[in-house]
Amino acid sequence: MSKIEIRNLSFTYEDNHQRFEALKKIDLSIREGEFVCILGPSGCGKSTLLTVLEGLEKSTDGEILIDGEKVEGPGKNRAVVFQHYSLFPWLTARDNVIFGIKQSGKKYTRAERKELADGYLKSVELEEAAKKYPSQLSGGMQQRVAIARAMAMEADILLMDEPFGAIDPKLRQELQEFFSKLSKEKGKTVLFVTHDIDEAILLADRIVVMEPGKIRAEIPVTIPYPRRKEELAGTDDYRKLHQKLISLFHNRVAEEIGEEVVL
Amino acid sequence: MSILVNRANIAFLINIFLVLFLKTDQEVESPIAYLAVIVFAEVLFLVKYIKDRRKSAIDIAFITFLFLGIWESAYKLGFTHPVLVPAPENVFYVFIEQKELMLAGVVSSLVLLAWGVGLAVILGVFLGLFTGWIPRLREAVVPIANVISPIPPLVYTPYVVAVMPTFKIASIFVIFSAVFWPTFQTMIARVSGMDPKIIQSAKVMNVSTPKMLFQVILPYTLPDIIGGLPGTLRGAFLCLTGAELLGATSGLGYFVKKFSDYADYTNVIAGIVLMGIVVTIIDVLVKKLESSLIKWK
Repeated sequence: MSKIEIRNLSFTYEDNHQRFEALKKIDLSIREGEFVCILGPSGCGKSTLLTVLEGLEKSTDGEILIDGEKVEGPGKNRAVVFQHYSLFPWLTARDNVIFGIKQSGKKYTRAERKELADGYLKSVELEEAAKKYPSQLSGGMQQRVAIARAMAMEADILLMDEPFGAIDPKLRQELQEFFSKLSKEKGKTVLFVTHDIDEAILLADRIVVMEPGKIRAEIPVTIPYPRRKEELAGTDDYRKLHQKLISLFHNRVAEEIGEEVVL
Repeated sequence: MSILVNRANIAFLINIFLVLFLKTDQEVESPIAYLAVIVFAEVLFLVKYIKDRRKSAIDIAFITFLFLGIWESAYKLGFTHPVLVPAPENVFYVFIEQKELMLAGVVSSLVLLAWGVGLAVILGVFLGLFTGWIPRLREAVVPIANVISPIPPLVYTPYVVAVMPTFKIASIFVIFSAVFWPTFQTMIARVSGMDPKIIQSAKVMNVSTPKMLFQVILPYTLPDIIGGLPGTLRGAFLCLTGAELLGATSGLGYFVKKFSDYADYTNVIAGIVLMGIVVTIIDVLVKKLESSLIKWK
């Protein structure tokens, strides 16, 4: 049985009496422990798909099953990291992680929670920032705390909505490599939305390429982990895959010219 | 400008000279209280200036001493009517002469203020929190609040004082209504207009409604609530003193009213100065509260 089963999923926005079909009968299944990247240009519905998975929006048709159970709203089996740094600004880094631990629903004493929180902060290499408030941390550090908070919820599934999109390129690469390692170590099932082809190749077991409302292709990535960007760049495997993804990505994009497309 | 030789310090020395050596035919009380005030102002200025070295400190001290100096010389030289414009010595001497009555007034006013503001802020925040969170409730309540809230409490103060069984309840009620509506309304606006990112990230963490209200929205809006307190308190103080002019037997407003009735303007001015001091102290305390409570901004 697959971990996540998306069946015939449709989602329609209604705004000022205008209907917009963001998702049209999507089918997708994801294995336990699999790292799936959802790749596509802005407006293709990839973030909408994640929003429905998060439980923040209800699908207009179809269903999502997690471990065979229908998703009806947010749940303890999923943790989310957004692109915007979504930490609680009034809590220190440690207290943000503790908030996540409390939301996991597991019973810990205060001292255990603190110790666990510091452990999670250590796993994102931020133990020294425990007592700092988000406003005192850089964007990259905030995002690492957000990852620690998501890990702290002890959910099997991580939903990542362009988490490194607002981080500068050098740091982004560090975070990608680091997150890839961490999620594999912890055996998480990951759905990672991105519009960055290199990011998808670096992270994914399988890349799902979307075109507006639909899945265009599912491409498995067989390059062994750990993948390092510099080492990958020269290889044939990488070049072929990159070429393929670019053509999949841009065929569509070319038709969409006139709309805003961010690459 | 050096610490010692500047406009403010020269003005200070001139003031001391005026108090001690300017002769007059007018009636003047012991200058002890007034001198204490001048020296206190000077010490305050020096401490501030040595700490921050800001030119504005010199300017503020200079303006203060200039004002006091003009007041003092105008009185002593007989340019003003001694009943309408009493000597600064006499005004500040009231703080010694009437200290019991003044202290009782401060206490009584602050107790009423604390009750009225306390109840109004707590209820305003909590009801605003719920109302802002539940769209249907919000849509029903906001139009009603919009009708009631703009009525200035001062308008119905005489009526409330007449209707309520005791003056205390009446003034608490007036303060309450002056503070409750704006607190309630801004709270609704803050909750419904809250950063959706924060709400989203709480929702995906499976936060329950009570937790959302009290552990997410409340702490997030707390700086705004405390930041709005000085203004709120000023409004409340206005209403309180207004109410006290009508029917009180103690309090800051009562103090001023009582002596106005006897045309004792020395005491009236002292009472007004006292109000200024009380409001300033409240302001400073609230700012202290804000910086000690809100560490994350």
